[in-house]
Amino acid sequence: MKKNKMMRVASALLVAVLLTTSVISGTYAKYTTAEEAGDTARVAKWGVGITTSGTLFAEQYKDAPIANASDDSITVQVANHADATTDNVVAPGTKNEDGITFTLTGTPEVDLALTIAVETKDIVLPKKDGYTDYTDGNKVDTFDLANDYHPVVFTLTNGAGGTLATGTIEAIKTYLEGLTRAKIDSNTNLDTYFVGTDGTTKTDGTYKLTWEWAFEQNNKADTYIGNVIAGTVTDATCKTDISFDITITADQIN
Amino acid sequence: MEQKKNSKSKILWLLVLLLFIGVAATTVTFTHILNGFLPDDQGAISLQPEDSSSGKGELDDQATEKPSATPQATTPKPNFEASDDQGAWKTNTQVEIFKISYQNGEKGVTIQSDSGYSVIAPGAKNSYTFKFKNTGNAALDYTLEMDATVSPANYSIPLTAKINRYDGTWILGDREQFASIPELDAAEDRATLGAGRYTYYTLDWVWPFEGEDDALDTLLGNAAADQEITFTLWLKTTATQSSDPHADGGISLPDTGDHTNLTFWFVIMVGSLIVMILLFLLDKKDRRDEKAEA
Repeated sequence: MKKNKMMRVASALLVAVLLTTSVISGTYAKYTTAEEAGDTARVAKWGVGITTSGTLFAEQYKDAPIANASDDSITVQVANHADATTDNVVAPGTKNEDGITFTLTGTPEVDLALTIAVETKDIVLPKKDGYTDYTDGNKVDTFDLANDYHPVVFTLTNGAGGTLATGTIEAIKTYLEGLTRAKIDSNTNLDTYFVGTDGTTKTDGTYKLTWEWAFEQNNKADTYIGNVIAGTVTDATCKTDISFDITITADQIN
Repeated sequence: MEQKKNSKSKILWLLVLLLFIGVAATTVTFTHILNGFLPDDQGAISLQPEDSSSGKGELDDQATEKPSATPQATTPKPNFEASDDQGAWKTNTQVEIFKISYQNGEKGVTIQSDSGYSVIAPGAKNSYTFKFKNTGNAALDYTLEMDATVSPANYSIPLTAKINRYDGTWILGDREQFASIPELDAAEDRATLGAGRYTYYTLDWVWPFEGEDDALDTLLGNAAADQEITFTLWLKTTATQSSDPHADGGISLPDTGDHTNLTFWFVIMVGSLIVMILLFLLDKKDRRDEKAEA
């Protein structure tokens, strides 16, 4: 029993000595030498990609897929299509199913503003009564248009083929310019940022624009427009140029 | 029962005696260490005569040893510390000069890292303040140098910086102007810090949003999407004992007025705790013995 008590006392003293020793040793560890401090940062990602491919209009069109390498049949072509300065042409029965494709990609680590601006011209015969009907050759009959006639129909689809907008080129312009955003948060995947026309389904970042001037649509109006283009009829109200220019700009905002 | 009580009392006294010996041993050890810092009085002339009734002549007789030609000073013990608001620098300390996100003037986050790694981008900026302290008893000469590098080295980042000291001295740039990364890399400062004094520096950096070269900013941002382009900044400091130990550069450290020897009281506290534990154990054993007897 006595030995046990003495052992305890001895143990307690040992603890006290150890504690005291640690305090003494602490007095020798006070001096510190400052060396160096630093930090590293990486450049934040931008990587916003806007790419386009294809053409909307051409100097000549085929009315059927190319059968073989030697098939060069053409249904519509510009009169001087070999001339590099010749304008592209559209006509009843022509279309471009490949059209132009533009894509929006990237996940930048900074906020950005996305601006889409579209400039267009469209072929249009304004609504009016009493247009000369040139389809029967007598130049006496007339026809009326209850609405403006836009013979070329445009279609905008996403990468999955879903139709986002269709109709006049003005309708396409309205849709695309509606994608403009004053602020998109950092780390947003632009590939899947926008929704389709249903308002909920995300589209991918690919947009494809095609067009068609149907062959059997309004022969009288088509003929009238054709005569205006050929110069045989003078009508300043009939617009005969068609064009589509899109500018997509992504800017970091602060 | 009486015998037991006496036995217990004896043990208690024994413990107290042992504890007293332990504390005395500790005090002796401390005194031995502290003695090294006491002034050396060898060769000094006592200013108080041994016999107070003696006249002036006896004072002369008592001066049996000439004083040392060189004055005896306190042993210099320098102590230099570099720190920021997060704590002291050690070796290769990682500090927060850059951030993982940045806010604009309206407190909206406009730059955000996607990985938790610090980033920089046009419009990013930050301020970093660090302090040097001399808590020793002798002046120190110190040097502050920068090491700024871009990797890969073929890239040039249009980040700019300026550094100023507590007394308004501009080490880099000035109130209106920021300097480029090569100028930051070459920046340095040398000064003296008096005993018990400190100094501080403020580093401000910015990657201008409306810079001169949007094309370069865009090129860097696009390249960063495919590879890491990094900027590293090291703040290096060295301190040596000054040739003039009484130099007084820097700001005085505030004196808190608390000179308590905490170590002494800590030892007393620990000793008391040990005694309490032992008494508790002894009491427990006594109760067990009493129960057994009953």
